[in-house]
Amino acid sequence: MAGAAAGTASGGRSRRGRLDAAPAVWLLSAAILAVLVVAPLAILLVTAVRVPDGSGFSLANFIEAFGEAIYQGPIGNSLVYATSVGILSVLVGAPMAWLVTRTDMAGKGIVRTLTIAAFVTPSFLGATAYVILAGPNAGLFNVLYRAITGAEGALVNIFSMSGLIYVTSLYTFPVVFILTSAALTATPADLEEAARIAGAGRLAVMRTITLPLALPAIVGGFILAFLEALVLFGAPAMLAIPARFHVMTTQIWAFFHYPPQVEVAAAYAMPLLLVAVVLLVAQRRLMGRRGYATVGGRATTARPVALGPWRWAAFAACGAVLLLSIGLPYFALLRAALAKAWGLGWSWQNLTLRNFRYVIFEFDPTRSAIVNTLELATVTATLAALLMGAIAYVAQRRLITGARALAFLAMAPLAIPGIVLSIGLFKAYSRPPFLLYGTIWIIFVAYLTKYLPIAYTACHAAIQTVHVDLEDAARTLGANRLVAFKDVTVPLFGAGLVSAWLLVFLPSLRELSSSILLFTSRSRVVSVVIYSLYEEGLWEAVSALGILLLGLTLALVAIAQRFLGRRFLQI
Amino acid sequence: MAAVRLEALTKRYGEDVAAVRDLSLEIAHGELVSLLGPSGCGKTTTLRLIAGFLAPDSGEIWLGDRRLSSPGQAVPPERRGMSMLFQSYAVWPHKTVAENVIYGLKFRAIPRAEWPRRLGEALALVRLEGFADRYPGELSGGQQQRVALARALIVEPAILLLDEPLSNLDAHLREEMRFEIRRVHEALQITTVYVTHDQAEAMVTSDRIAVMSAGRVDQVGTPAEIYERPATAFVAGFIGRTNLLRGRVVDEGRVVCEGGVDLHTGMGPEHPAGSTVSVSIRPHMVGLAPAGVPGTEGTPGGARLNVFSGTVTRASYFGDTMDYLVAVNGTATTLRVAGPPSLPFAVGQSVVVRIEPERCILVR
Amino acid sequence: MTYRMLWGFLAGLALALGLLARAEAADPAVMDAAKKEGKVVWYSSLGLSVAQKVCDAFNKKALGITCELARDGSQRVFQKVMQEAGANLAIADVVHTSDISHFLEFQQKNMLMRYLPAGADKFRADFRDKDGLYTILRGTPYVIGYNTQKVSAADAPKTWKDLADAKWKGKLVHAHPGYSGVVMTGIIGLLPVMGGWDYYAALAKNNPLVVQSAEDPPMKLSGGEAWVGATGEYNLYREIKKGNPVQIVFPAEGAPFVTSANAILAKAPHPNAAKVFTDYLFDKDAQQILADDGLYVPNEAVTYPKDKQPLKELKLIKVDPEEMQKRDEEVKKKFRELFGV
Repeated sequence: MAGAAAGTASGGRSRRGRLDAAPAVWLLSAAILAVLVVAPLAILLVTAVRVPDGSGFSLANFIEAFGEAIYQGPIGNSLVYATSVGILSVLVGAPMAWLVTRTDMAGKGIVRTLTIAAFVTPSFLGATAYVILAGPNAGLFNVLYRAITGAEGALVNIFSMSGLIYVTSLYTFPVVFILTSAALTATPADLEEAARIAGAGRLAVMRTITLPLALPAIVGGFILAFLEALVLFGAPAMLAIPARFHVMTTQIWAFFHYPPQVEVAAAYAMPLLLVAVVLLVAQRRLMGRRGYATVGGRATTARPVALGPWRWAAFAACGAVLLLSIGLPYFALLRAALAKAWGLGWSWQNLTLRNFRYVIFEFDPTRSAIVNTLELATVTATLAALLMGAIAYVAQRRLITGARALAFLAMAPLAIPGIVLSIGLFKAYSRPPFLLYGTIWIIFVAYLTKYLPIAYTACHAAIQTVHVDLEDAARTLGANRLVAFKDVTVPLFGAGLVSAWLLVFLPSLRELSSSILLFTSRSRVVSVVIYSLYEEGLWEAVSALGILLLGLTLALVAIAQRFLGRRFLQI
Repeated sequence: MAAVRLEALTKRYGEDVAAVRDLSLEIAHGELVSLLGPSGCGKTTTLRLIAGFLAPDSGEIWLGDRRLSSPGQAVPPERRGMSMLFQSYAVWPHKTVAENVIYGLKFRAIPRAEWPRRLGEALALVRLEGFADRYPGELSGGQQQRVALARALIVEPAILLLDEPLSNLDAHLREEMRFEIRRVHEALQITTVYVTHDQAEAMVTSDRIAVMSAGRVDQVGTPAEIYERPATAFVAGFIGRTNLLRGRVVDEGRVVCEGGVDLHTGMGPEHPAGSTVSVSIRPHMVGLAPAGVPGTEGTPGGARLNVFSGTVTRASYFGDTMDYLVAVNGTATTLRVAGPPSLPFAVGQSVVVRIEPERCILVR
Repeated sequence: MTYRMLWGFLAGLALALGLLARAEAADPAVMDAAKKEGKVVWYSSLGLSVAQKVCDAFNKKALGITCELARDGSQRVFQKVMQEAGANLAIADVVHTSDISHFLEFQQKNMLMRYLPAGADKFRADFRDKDGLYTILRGTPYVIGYNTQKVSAADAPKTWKDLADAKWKGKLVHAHPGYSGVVMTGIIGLLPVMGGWDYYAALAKNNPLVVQSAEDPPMKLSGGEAWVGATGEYNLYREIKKGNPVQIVFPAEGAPFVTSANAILAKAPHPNAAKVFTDYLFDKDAQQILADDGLYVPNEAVTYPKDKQPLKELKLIKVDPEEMQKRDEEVKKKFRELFGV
């Protein structure tokens, strides 16, 4: 009844107090979003069907991109890779989510915390660490294996498709974990209790009630993990190329090598774009189905399933996963970062802080890359939070008509893989009159576009908590629109904006797949430098930079969780 | 002169959906008027028109001799000198109780020195002394709504607007707060418009009730008038329980209902013969007596007396009353009847049903 | 005019221009202008640690000009220069890669400034460009390296052919010609000697770890991740100097000699600083740094480390620049086919 009444109320709000500046605000926002989202996509599409010399349009690029056997291989590789990562992420992430949300497993807090750490760890650093840990001949695992068993061969070879799948999954399973635990938390306990009373055993309840209710979230998680792997550049470049195979992203990058075949790259990127769009639409449908994924209702907390003696076994299993994704890799990176020379082995004499001094103070490219990265991340996060905060606000308050269209545009980049976006941006801004290539601003445009959806989602969620009544109450008491906004909305929405800022800032620090096509020697960023140093085999420097990046990231997450509490990445 | 006058207000959403149609209403100084109706009847829209969050498509709103709203034009909410209570309380979570309550004083020419006294009075009025430094998160829902009330009252508003202020509270608290609101109203005599979908709430708190449906006011009157003399079938059905029988006037005051019951009513010539009407009979206005007792036999004792024989088909015990369904013999009509629990009838028992003609209210 | 006469004329012209350029560089006006420009941007494929040393030494001279180093693989340096030129961006001043064909390409596109460093006339003849557009900064033979802890000297490969032996399956490291000019030169030098692509097909059967930079195989060898591999001699030499368990083999078939050129771009944003820096690169101090790191250099005033064999005692395979330019695409394509990346 109250809900129905509120329905009328919000209907009553829809035309309220339209801003006089409405058309101007709308046009400005739409123009910014068009430049960021529509322009690069349009240019990408045109590029794909254009003859390189500009003489006309044809399907020649597609024939070249998909007709040659050597370019077909990576498509199959990408499919195998992304599908396996999706499945593995579900196999690890979904049970862990269940254990953490629905059982009395030991050490749930630490599992949550470390899963977040895995979530914010860039997979290219994981890949670097695993080259140290699981290289076929000198990797620690294999050295130990040979020392223990006396065998000749290798236990594991990270330079392989399975190695690549393994490393990537270690950093994508948190996506499944987060979505699944959210769904499990939102499932009212009485749904399960009803089944118990109807006679279902604990396992039957899991199979017939819990799992089906969480299924949309799990499938949604699979789709996101699949897409993440599909559009990933760093880890595949580091592990697949030495193993002598390409995936689609590394192939696109290879198309940019001299002589660059940007048009073929654009054609080659089309399936990525298409698959991303289709899957994201599917994911939205799945998660958005009424009364299903959004299980809703005021959930009574379920009584946790007592695992008995398995409490610790379950914790050990989760711990093992996190040891593999956080513990060992961080250890390996730290160890390499502190080594004088990697080849000298594991001794105290081989310890030094020299690598940190080198990457921070001595090596020009890293120094400027650190400055560039911090500058880019700050500007991107600030602009994204402000722009999306404004759009989320006017959309939620329905202050201007067509705000929903703006919201849609803001969410659209979700379906544009970073490396695909970069092709469009490169084509759009590497020639006068829009000459951004060669400056960090083209990378800024890429980041801003790429992270609009994150910023919008965070701002949208935050503004939902600021009920319009809170503002209206101030209005009736004598505050005009601006004063009410300042006194009420800003303080309440502020935490959400800070949260959005961080959610953009953090991934901007480590973005690689867009940057790799857009950087010049003048506009390097940390991730690109890490990748370049990796290409030269400079473990120590890569690790030192990686540790700095991780340290900054984890510190920011910790501070944010301390001060923003549940509003930030709390799962 | 009325404190607030709504003149032929219409507010549309989209092309042809009118939330409020041609609504007129006058509210006197110091009066508490409820806008009562089901969800979607336009009551909240009306309130937001009064508050100035919406501008009417046609019609005007006057506060005394000051025109507040006219088509496309509305004095903004902050310059109307009104206060409002929200269903969601709308207590600012980032401000303490004191900061919440004194907020409105900042916009009025009230010397700062006077604020503490006013704050103390306002908190005392809503019985929240000692809570000044708490944050809303530390208060219960009822306490939060009282903070909102103090915040609304401290500015001594010309008009107090209440938008379903109790519907988020639990049942017990809701009942308590009804009396609280009435008590405060009697103490301060602030002209008040109260939106609610709960008829009991409206009955307890209001001087007059405006029952709304489909964007119009069906009837305005005191709670007793509304209950006892409903103007429409909708009002009769919405306010309390009733038996509604559709029928046709065959003679002055005599109605033949669809089920076959022939009723004499207390109504006169405003319903000419041949017109279609509904008859509203409150369950507790129907008399029941055991059949077969001399002197109460089911034959009409006079031309204007409605006495029927019937059979009890359901009997429910409610503690303070009994609730029956009684089938009127020889007709397809079943009446709901309330009786004292001291004289219970059993299911299947034959009874005599008696309805005083003046208790049969003809409604549109 | 006969062909011979034309060549003579051109050589004379080049010499004259070179002298002119030298006179210009000595000119204090150039130095003043260079100081005003403040910095020089060097796109270089020289191994990072050496390149950094060279730059640092330049900066230590405190001429008021800063050396800004952008180190990348030869092919990436080339790609960036071309990409930036295509976008009309002038960022790089001085370019240095190990793929000599790049300089032919630059030359054909008129992208180079005609400039010879001071003292160029005294350089070894095989380090000079006949047109005076670029100068070879350093040279190194393309050789085999192995890990001495995993492989005994007796077992170590002696010839290029040995490297294709099945016993190195899973133990081999190879850098990428699409990244490294050293490797590109090495492959083009070896193809005729080894009888074409069949040799590389055999090598690919050993499942080599394919890394990008010629700098990387020595590290894979010293860490034991690979046991044998092919790369530039100077890359290996540095790891040996650091005390890593790596040894160099000059294969019996001969070692392709990798010459890495250096030039100033015509559109250099800091042309005067570029000249000052180029002079520096070829002066005795900078050249000595390169020589100490195991490189062969044009300036004969340097002294080589005692354990370096004189160039003339080595069996070298000369690689023709035109041949390199001609076969560049073929190598990338064939390598992709055989090695998958």
